[in-house]
Amino acid sequence: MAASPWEGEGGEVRRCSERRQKPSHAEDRGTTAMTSSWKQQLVQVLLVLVSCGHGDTKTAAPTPTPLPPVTPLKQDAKSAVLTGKNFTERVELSSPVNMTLSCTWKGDQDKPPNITGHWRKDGQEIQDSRVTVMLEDENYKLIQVFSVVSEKDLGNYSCVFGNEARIDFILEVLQMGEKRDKPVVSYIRDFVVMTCKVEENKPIPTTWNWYTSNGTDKEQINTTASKRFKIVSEERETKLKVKDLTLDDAGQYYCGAVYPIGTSVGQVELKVITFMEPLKPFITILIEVVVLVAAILLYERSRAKKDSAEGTQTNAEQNTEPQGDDKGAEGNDSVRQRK
Amino acid sequence: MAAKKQQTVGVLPPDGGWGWVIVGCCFMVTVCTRAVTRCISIFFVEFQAHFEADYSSTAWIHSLLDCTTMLCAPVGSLVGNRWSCRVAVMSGGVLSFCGFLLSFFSTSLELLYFSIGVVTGLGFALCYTPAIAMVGCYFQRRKALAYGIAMSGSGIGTFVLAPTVQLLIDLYSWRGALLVLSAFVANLCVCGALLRPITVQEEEPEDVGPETCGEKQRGDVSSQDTELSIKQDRTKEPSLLPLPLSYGNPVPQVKRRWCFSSCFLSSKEYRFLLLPDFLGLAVSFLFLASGCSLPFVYLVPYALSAGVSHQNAAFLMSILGVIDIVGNITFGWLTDRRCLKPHRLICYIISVAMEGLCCLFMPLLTSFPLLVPFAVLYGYFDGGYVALIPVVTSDVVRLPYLSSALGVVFFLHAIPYLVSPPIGGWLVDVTGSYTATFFLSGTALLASALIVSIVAVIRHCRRRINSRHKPLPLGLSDSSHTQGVIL
Repeated sequence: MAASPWEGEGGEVRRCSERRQKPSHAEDRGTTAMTSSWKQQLVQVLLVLVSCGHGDTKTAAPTPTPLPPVTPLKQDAKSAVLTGKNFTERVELSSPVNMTLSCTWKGDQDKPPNITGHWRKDGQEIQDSRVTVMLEDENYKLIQVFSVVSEKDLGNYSCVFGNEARIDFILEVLQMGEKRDKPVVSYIRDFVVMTCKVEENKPIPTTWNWYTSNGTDKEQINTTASKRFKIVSEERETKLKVKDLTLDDAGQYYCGAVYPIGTSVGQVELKVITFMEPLKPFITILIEVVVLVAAILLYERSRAKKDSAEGTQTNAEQNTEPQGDDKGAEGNDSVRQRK
Repeated sequence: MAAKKQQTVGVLPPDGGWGWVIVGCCFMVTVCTRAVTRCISIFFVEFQAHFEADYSSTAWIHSLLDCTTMLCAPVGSLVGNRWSCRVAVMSGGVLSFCGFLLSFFSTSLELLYFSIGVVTGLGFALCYTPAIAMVGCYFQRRKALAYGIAMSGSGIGTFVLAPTVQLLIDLYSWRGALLVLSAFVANLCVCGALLRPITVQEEEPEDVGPETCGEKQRGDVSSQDTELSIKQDRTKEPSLLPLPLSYGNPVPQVKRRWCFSSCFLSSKEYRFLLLPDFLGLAVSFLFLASGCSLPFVYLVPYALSAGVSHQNAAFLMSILGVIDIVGNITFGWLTDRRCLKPHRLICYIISVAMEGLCCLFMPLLTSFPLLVPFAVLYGYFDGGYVALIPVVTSDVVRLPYLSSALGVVFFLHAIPYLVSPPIGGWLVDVTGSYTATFFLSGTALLASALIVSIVAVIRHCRRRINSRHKPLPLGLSDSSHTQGVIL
């Protein structure tokens, strides 16, 4: 069958077989099928054509190797719409994630049909991120997927349209709620309990750590080394109990909630005071109370003495007159006169 | 008759002068006792953190304090009667000072239960009843206003003390705050020192007969008590609801009771307990105390569950507190007006009934703009009835028994105060909504109002029956009255 109409395509068929091993089998069958029925040959050639057809389009660009399947990595997406010049969105993360960030910009007064946009991380332009954005439905859209795996992948991701319009996505570790801004106060030789909590609807940290500030560094508290410290951690809450306080224990304490992506740090300030501090207002008020009580009681006693003296006097007056009481300032004489 | 008495041993209630000092003292006593009790709840968060306890264990401190103050109220009135009000209040001040001082050193929650709950509670109980009874001794005409001002101490005190206590906790932690608070309650001794004893003439209407001529006139005191060192315009004085019962004392004798300086303790002190009127009042107080504490405890949780924000819910409580103060003073002033004075009991009934109605309507109010009028109305009438409790009690029992009666009244408040919030909480848990709790509160208040109105109706009918049987000694009382004025 040398005069078969597929001969022209023999070269292509051969090219196909160079790349793939499987179709060679079909091609062998195809060539040796010269002796089989013409229907079989037709089907086989069709098969080869289809497989070669696929191969043809792919020769232009190299096939990108598929990403190795990372099963723990979740997908997440955040989007924002920019109407002015600047917009910031905070994103809290607790575990590694493939983050799709999409920015939509309404554009300026003059809307050019296409504009260059690029991505920045922490102010630095990400390489190979410059793309041309087409105007669709009066909007410009930039979408990019970032793989956020560790703490160094967190930061400030910005999409920039042209040169000015920018949307910032601040990717950070979960922040702890209930920040206590007032210091915890306790006394020397007393104990204190400092707490850090994570809110109900937020994910549970893997573990908790406590740090004390040592100059500018944070030094982790080791409960086995020093007996005065005791850490009790539950899922959402951790407590640091410090016994036998001294003035040196005062300062900043940090509780760290460890998540797969990083550590979220909360701050608690400890103030240690002596018993003298509240004693001052206490003594002041006590002195005032004692002074007032003494003054009042003395006054009452002197008044009672005066009253009883007057009382005996009026009794004497009453005994001398038969009846009646008047505005008693007048003496006995006037009363007698009236009678 | 007049010649028999050589000594003027009693004075009429001054209705002013040193009386206002007494009102000020009672105000301070109310601040130091009731307001401090309410402010103890600010310490809960600190106790929970320090002793690693849960909410209900720390809430026991407040309940114990409140309960002990009320349960030991008869002890306070006993001490006040046996010795003097001055001794009672000063010793109460010393005891509560010691209680808070002990709590400064406490290392466990149980010690706090004892020091704050029991010792300070006993101290507060020794102060509260004698101070309130003292106001009743010093005021007659303006009694309700005096009580209104004195009782407003709890509202104003809470308003002022709450941020102060918070500031003290921030500066000195709970230990230091308790220490400073102990010095603050030592001021009770100052108040006690100012409570000058007064001997008041007993006003016994049985000398004039169980009825008086006309209901408005009150043939005051007995016609025999004519030499008075302080005269007041008696004709102006409106009548109280006269007691148609006699105490079983021989009637013609004029009894002189020494207000708080008697040196004998007899069963006569508690004879008023057998009065049917007082018994009815006592039962109504039981219901009242069961109903009135629930809305205060459950208003904020209910508002939060209805979707009101935290800020607005706290604002509701503030409105309640401030209007409470306004209600105290204005109700007191209003019921002292001549036109309302004879109807004080009715005013009391109305205020309690209005409170009950407000509570019944509560489940229908589901948003902040609707809850504000509730808070205003409830707060106003709450202030009103609180000011009127001592007045109504003194109307039903006579002045010399006022201290003991008040002791019993506050004692009756104790167990419902302790028991009803947990029952309300149990109802919320079982039914899943606050409707049942507010229904309970409203029904209890309405029942209380009903019982008091029954008592009032019975008294009114009995008076009418008595007046129909006995002829009115009209001429006699008039002449004796004029005699008294001349002399």
